[in-house]
Amino acid sequence: MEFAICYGGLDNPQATTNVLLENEISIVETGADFFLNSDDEKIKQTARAFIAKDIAIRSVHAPFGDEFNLSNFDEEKRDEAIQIHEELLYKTSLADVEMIIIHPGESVSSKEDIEKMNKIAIDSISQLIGTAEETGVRLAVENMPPGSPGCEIQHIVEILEKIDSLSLGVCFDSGHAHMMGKMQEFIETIGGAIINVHIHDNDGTFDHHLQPPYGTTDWRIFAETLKNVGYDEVLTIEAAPWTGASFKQMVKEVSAVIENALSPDEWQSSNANISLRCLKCGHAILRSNGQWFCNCTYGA
Amino acid sequence: MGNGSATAPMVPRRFKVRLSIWTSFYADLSPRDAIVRCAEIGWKDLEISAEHGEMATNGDDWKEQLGYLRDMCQICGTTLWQMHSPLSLDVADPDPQKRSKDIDIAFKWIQYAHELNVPNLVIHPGGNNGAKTDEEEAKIFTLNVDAFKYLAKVAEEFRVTLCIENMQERENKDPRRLGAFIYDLNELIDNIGSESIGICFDTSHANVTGLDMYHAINECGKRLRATHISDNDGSGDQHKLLYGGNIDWQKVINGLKDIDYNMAFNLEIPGEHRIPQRNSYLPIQVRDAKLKYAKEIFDFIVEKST
Repeated sequence: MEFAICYGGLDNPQATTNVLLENEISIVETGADFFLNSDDEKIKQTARAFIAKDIAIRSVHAPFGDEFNLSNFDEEKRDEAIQIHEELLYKTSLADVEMIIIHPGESVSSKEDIEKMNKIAIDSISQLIGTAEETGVRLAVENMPPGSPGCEIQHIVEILEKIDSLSLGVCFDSGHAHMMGKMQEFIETIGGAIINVHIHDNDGTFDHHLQPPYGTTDWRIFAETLKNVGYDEVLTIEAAPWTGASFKQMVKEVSAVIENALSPDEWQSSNANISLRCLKCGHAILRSNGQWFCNCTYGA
Repeated sequence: MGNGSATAPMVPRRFKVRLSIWTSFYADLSPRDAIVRCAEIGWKDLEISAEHGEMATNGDDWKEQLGYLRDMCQICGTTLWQMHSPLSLDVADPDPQKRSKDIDIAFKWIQYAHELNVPNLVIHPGGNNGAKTDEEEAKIFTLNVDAFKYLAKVAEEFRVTLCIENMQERENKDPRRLGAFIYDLNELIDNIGSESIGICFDTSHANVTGLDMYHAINECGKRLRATHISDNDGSGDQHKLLYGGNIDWQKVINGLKDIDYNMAFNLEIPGEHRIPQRNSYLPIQVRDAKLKYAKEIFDFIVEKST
């Protein structure tokens, strides 16, 4: 399984690609700002700098927040949001980006509103799907934390049922599913449609975006269920490295978590919590290729 | 549910290569002028040719010279995808002294590529004179493995990929040439065992050897990091523009699409820039026009590929 990280810095491709290569990162997800604020030539040039160094900008996270809400009740604002997403599809296609990650909508307090918003989101995504097909950049709809359209399994199923296109898939977000308490059910239901995975951790109460395994997610269930539905593509770590560590160390730790989750013989901590933690660096003591490591021993 | 099958939905692959030219097309210009000339006529994806590499590095101030060219590329918005190492190199020369000297030169060129910020350095496999016996063939293979194991470590350090190029071998006419077949290169790279070694696929060499383009490119797979694109009629290494020979370009395109190759589609067309029978280059304006024509051909094959 390959890992991607979330990283910016596209304005300075030479420095950014060097940092990524130093950290042995070959796949990234970036934000939308660079694409929405740069001209075509600059985007193409930046893309070439990344591709030449064999670093793929695999996915771009579409902007989110009220201004970009695809299920806004205000029609005018929603139209603007759709236009921005459309522009992002065109711009990202210049850089061979495989997909943009989209939220069905923003959080609201009323359950009734959530259901209505999910239907509006379906309409917005239907309007975008033609551009996705034309540009070759896919739409990856993300499952959301509680209180937003897309938080329930049925929301995502409904979107997939209503819009039948090869250019539409799901970005499965482990942290959001953990907050909903439906990790296994979620993956099993929408497994075949997953085209990207956001992997991060939390304590189940708030969307902390912690690096795995520093929350309470059951990583064995996550990894085994994902494997069972046949997903073997990229896991995008949507978190910053745990204190004092490099991106390389973060990938090493997350990779060990998944490796151990899939190989129960080597499993060295409980499913959900860290059983061993280094008192010096504060990192989990994990196992990879038969060797124990923490941040202190990393690179030793 | 439309997308609820066991595997993730697949979208058709696109042809995502970058049309590039090797700077030797303007070998009579300085490296700086060749880069600027190419940029001025809209060619911002390049391979630095061996002669331009040599011109830029023949003094003690090579680091400054390469730094200057690197900065020039940034100003022009040019991407250097690959650089060709000297054609005379033979890292498996039977003469140990010559071999050792050539390995040292290859070492230097990896440094040059690093200084220029070129990710891929193209190099021919050793054994320029070919092998007439099985023993010679085995010896050449071993010498190549030894040389490239050493060079791969250097390449890893400088974050450059050494792209070993497929060679040409006419059946029953030429001695056995290591690298004429893609399985040669894969066996060699498997034995070297380094991620810093890739493949440069030369369509003309493959056509002379008689390879099926589609299968050959698929054999390269993810190891393909660089290309030399040109055409011939299969009788010799004529290096003409696309459709100047008998290569099935649809097979080339399908192969590149299949392996999701997205780097340089680099024209290496020495059969197009000189006046035949005379030791001089075509007027520069004529060469500019030929590149314009080359772009039109490329646009045609891209259109055909969709």
